[in-house]
Amino acid sequence: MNAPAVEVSSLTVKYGRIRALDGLSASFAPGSITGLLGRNGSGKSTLLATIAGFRRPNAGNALVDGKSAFEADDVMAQLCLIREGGDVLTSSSVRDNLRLARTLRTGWDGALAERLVGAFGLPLRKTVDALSRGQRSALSAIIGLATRTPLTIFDEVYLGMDAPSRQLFYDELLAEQIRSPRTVIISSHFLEEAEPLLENVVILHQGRLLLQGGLDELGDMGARVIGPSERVREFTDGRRILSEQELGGVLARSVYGEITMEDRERAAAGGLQLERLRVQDLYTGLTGDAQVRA
Amino acid sequence: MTPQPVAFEQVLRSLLFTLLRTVAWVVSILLVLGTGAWFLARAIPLGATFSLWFHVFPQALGWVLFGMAIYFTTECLSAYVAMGVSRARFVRAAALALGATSLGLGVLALLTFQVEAWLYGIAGWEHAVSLTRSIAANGWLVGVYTVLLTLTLGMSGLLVGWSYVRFPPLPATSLLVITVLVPGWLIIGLLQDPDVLSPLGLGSWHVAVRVLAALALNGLMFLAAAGLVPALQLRSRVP
Repeated sequence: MNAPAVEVSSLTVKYGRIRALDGLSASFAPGSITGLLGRNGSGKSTLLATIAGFRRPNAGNALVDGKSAFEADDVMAQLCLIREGGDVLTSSSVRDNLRLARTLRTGWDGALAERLVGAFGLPLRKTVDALSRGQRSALSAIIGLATRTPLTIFDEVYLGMDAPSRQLFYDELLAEQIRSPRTVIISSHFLEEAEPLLENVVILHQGRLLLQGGLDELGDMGARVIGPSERVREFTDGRRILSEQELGGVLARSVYGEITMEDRERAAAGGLQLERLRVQDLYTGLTGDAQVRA
Repeated sequence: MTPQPVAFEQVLRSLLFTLLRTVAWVVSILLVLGTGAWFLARAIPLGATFSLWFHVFPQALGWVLFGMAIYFTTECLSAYVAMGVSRARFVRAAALALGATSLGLGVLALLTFQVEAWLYGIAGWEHAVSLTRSIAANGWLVGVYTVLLTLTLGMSGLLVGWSYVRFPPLPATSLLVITVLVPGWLIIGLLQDPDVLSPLGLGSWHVAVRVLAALALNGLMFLAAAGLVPALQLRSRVP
């Protein structure tokens, strides 16, 4: 199984007059887990639906190993998009939905699906309509994992799941990735939880690419400075501040921008601690205008 | 192993299974109700002068196929696309499943119509398609009538389903004039003419032309569905 690369170039998707994606270009590395981040309405779901062939772009391309998925059976067989709505038969039972997946997916791993149904505690006889939101998300997650497609896309799939279920999903995804690496794209709002899984991150803002890179690379785009409040303020003065927390005279500020060797020496001399920038801070700071201060 | 596109037969089989499960359920109910009505009519005694089955079975099953075709496009389509089946293959499989079911229903209508004729004979009632017309000499036309009526409603259902996925509720409802009323009006015009079910039979050029026209109408509706459904943009249904 070869994990495909995903290339998006000059992609524009419109809903009437609204541009959900506006000339977006980005890439998703093969065989890795990429987090797709962005605020509500930033175009994440539209991008994923376009990659998976659920939508046709107005302009530009979204290609999976050089081919568009829209109405291409051979490409569609290589990918699986699991959306928040869970494209399942809602008036059918969980068992019938899994049976359908077994029928239509040639790479279906029935043993894995069976084990996950037990682990998530899904009632097989219940119709999807009668499931709780978390159970419905679990069903979608099981389908996404057990189809074992070379490109698997999860769009906010674990909304409604409780913390243990989400952890189970992360563990299973990681185990699957070790067993047989796929190209995985995860769109999520639970960034702190998902961050340990991610190798790359793509951040969208208002239908355009804001940032893209490996987790390490993004972590080096700034720093988290911790120390006595006054000294931290003095050190970060004039820098773009992404976030800050203050408690009992100790201030932690995440700042955006290059940290030179000279900066590091100055911080050490001032008794300040410098940590790698958290992607969570980078994401919220750069996309939440109210929180960005230059 | 690189996953391959699923065979077309698998898509067809899974849709056919869904369709037949519902059809079998409705046919069972109709058989129970029909048998009960026969016993009741004999016990009262009420009697009958024309076939009730002919007036219930094709219409009831036609509307079942209509509803299932809407279910296919509004509910199943996005699930099948999510399972790697293209819209074009899905709509072909759906149309074929509806066509095969219509044929099966035509045969079933023919058989059950003969059973009804036998039951009417036991009771000493006249078995006609209406108060004024007899069909005894060409009972097999009931099968043809059932196939064409159920197929037309099935194809119409595909177009109705498409319109509700493609458009917001108001324009989609307005389109019912084109997706339901026009084909309904045409098929009634083609099939309800007294000559179609007259003892002249299909050998009459008049009847043959009408049957061919009904088939052509279904062919056109299939071509419309096959052209329109693959272009659908599938929105997410957030629960």
